[in-house]
This record gives sequence, structure tokens and C-alpha cells, in this order.
Amino acid sequence: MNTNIKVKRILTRIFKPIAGIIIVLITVFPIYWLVAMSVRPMSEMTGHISLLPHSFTLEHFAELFVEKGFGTALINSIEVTLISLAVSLLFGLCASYVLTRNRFRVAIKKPLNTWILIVRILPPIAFTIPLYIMFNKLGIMNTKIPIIMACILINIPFIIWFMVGFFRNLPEDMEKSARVDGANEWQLFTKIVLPLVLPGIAAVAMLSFMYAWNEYTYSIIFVQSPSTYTIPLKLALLNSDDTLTNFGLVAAGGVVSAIPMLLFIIFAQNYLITGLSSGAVKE
Amino acid sequence: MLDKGSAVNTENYRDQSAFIRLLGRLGMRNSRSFAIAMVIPTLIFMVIMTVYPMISTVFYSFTDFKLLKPDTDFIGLENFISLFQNEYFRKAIWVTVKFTALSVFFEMIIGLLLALYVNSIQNRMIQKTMRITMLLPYLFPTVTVALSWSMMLSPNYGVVNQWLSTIGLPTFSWFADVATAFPMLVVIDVWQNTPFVFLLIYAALQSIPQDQYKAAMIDGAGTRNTFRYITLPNLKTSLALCALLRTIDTFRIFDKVNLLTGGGPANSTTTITQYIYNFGIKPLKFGLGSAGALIMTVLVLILAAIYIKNALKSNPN
Repeated sequence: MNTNIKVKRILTRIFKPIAGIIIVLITVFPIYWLVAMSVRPMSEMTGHISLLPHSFTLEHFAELFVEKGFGTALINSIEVTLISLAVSLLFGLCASYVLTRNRFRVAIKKPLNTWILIVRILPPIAFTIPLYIMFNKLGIMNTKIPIIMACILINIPFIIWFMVGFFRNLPEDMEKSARVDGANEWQLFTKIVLPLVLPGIAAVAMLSFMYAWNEYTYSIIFVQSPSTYTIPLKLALLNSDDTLTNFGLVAAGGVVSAIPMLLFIIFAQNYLITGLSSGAVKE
Repeated sequence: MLDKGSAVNTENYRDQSAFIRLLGRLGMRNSRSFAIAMVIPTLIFMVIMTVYPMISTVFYSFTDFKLLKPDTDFIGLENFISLFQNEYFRKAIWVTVKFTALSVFFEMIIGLLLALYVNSIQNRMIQKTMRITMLLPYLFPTVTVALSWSMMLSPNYGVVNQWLSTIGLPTFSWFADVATAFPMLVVIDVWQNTPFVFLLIYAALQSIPQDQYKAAMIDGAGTRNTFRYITLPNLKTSLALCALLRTIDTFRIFDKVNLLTGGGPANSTTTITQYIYNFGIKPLKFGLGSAGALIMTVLVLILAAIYIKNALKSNPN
């Protein structure tokens, strides 16, 4: 009996770290491979490919920005992401605050709440075709407006559904006493309530940023002129562009596309993680 | 408004001052007008971008609307009939269901095992490092993930085929072969989305009260019984919610498919969204596409019915 337990203990002591290493390898390898491919010269990509690059080069990054116009896509992505983020945060925060406050009795609250949830669940394809026709009629297919609108469409329901939880955790009584002290509704909202939910706003802003940054489905349908390509579209194009795809270019583009996530992980990991876990569990 | 001419301009001044007065009143005294002002931007946006499109989708689905065709006729249920009679559309539904079932199943199992594993690590530092490492695939842009895998799985210069040939196994054209394209897409989707399951289950594990485990230990319960009678019951809600969320999300799968196979080979990876994209949107057959989109919408609403009901109950307004 005693030796049995001892054997078991030794086995787990050996088995657990090995399992951990395997898990980490499987998780990290495709990411490592992306980075490794982006910094090795072309000559190391055909024939036998070594796990570690033998030499280091930034030529793919240079070619990407100088010859392939990746800079335009990068700027487009930043523009689309930031504009859509600002608008959806503004709209979403205002709406979700009103949705959680009992003193605001507006008839549209209930249907709006239900509709927001349904939109959050429905796939993009449910709205794409009429939107395409609408943007086409307005003659704005060659601008960034359709894709900005699409990103706002993705993020408003997400922000509202996420922030409702945060606002609800703040007792309404506190606002009542502040109101007695002479603050008007707008001051209440901006000076008292918003600062208290700042952690929630930080988390939701990062996640919304990521959704807009990674957006692909609406983009591939709405974005038509190469001058308005965002990073995901540009990457997809690089991948199918040449007969023999230049892995180095694609990999370098992939590395650039992941920079915002890396920054979030380095500087705001805890917000990101609470955001991810509480945002989803928003039953 | 525009064609009324300059007569309106003088009126505008009066309107403007009234507008300023209204603004002044907003939020100052009347909480009702404040509330309306706060929701109106979202409301208008949602009406234009979702309510109107939804109604139009239903409307178009009964027509033979094509973008470059001059006239459009009502054709009743013809779009729906031709979709359901189409072998490829029926196959697309099956592919989507199969993909969703397999992906969610593996994500749940692996996610649960990973969560249990990471949670059992004693060293806090290692535990935290493992947690963020596990999350990386989920945080990466889907397009980037797809491209990284397509590099690894490239038939000629891919590292996976190189490994296989080194140990003497046959190599594959992963995304061109009917036998491997679909399973590979599942693998990539599982690789990317398991971290989401892991994170939710891990968070749930962390919130199980420790005294329940202490009590079990005092009672002399073994590992298996502790898991079965304490851990599992505590995880039940999270597991169910997680499976539901993953199902809703996986059902719309499009980006990976479109990037890696475009629905091929031989339609073996065409999901519903990919089908609508290939046969409705690309050829600008918007009537047919709308019918497909409507079918997709109904399917998602059926899948999500339980979720919507519970969410509205816990979040009433």
C-alpha cells in the first residue's frame, strides 16, 4: 500500500512537467514558427527547413513595407479600429448606463435590450447583403465607411452587454444622493459613475479593439478597393498573390498583425484576462 | 428638407434656439429626456444597421434580386426550394453541424483537462505564466493563425510534411485532399479556441470554495470521488455555458475556411456561410443569398434559444 502511493507520487512528479512541456510546445509552436519564418532569409525556406533559423534578416519586413504597401494597410487598420472603437464606446457606454438605471423609464429599453442580445448572437451574414446594397447605393463602397460601420455594429452590442454587468454592480442610491447635492444627470454619469467602472471600460475597450483589428468576414465583402485594405485582407492577399507564396512576407505581416495583442499582454494582462472571462460569462 | 429652399433658413434660427434650450434641459432637470438622449444614438444606429437589414433580408429572400439585373420579381418560396433541393447546400448544413459538433467537443474536453492541469500546479508563478501562454492562440488574429498553419502545412515546404517524411510516413497536400482538409480545419479551430474554454473553466475552478476540498479530504475521499462529487458539480454551469457559447460562435465559421480551402476540395469544407458567400454574394445573386442568410439566422436562433432565454432572465429590463 505504502509503496504503491510512493510509486504513484514519483510517477506524477515525472509525468506532470513532461505534460506541461508538451502542452506549451503545441500551444506555442505555430506562433514560434510564424516568427521564425519572418526572420530567416529566403534561401532557408526551401529544401530542408531547420527548426532554428541559421541567420537573421529583416529583409521581409523591409520588402513588406517598401514594396508591398503594408504600411497603408497598417494605417487603414489603425484608423478603422480607433474610429470604430471611439464611436462604439461612446454609444455603447451611454446606452448601457440607461439600460441599468431604474429611474430612467423609457418604453424602448426592453425591446432594445432584447434586440442587442439577438444582434450579439446572430452571425454577420444575417445583415451583410442589405448592408452591401445600402452602401453600394450610397456610393461609399470605395471608402472605409462600410468597414468602420461594420466594426461598430460588432462592438456596440458587445460593449453594452459587457458594461451592463459593471453598471449594475454600482448601487443607484449613490447617484441619488449625488443628485441631491445638485449634480445633473450628465455630471453624475461622467464625473461619478464612469470613473468607478474604469477597469471595466479598459477591459471592454481592449477586447473591442481586438475584434475590430481582427475583423475579416465583413471586410472581405465590404472592402473593394486595395487602397482601403486592412491588415487581415492584405495578409490574405499576400498569401494568394504569387504562384509560389513568399512565406517570409506572409510571416512578417503576421508578426506585425499581432503587435497590438502583445502590447496588451505586456502592459494590461490582468484587465485582458478579467475582460475575457467576465465578458463571456455575461450570461 | 433640402428642396424647401432658403425660406427654411430664417426658421432655422428659431429652431436652433429651441434646440439649445432643449439641450440645456437634457440632463439638467428631466431625467427622461436625458435617458432618451443617451440611447438615441445606439437606437438609430441599430435601426439602420440591423433592423432595416433584417427586414430587407426577409424581403429579398422571396425575390430573384440580382445586383446587376435590372428588374426584380417576387418568386415566392423558389429560393428556399432550390436551396433545399441543392445537394451542396444540404451538404453545407451537414458540414457546419459536423464541424461545430467536433470542434466544440474537443475544445471542451481539452479545455477542461488543461484547466484542471494548470489549476493543479503548486507554484503560483508557473501557474500564471502557463495561463497567459495557454491564451496566446485565442488572442492572435484568426487570419494570422490560419496563415501560420498554412505555412506549416504547405505540401512542399511545410515543416509538418518534413517531419512526416523524416520518420518515414506518407505526406499530404493537407488542404487539397478530401481526406485531410476537413479534419485539419477542425484541428486548427480547436487549437485556436480551446484557450477560451480553458480560461472560463479555470476561472470557475478557482472560485470553488477550498473548504469543500478540505472536508472531502477529512472524509478520506479519493481523487476520483473528489472530482466527481465536488469539482464537476461546481463546474456544471460554466461547462454548459461554455459549450453553448462555443456552439453559437463555431456555427458561423467562415474566416478559416475561406482562407485555407475556400470551401474545397469538392465542397468538403463548405460551411453554410461559405456557401452563401460562394453562391450568393460573389455572383451577386442577392435573392438567393438572402434566403440562405435567413435559413442561417433561424438555425442560429434555434441553437441560441436557451441562451437568450436565460440571459434575458438574469438581465431583465
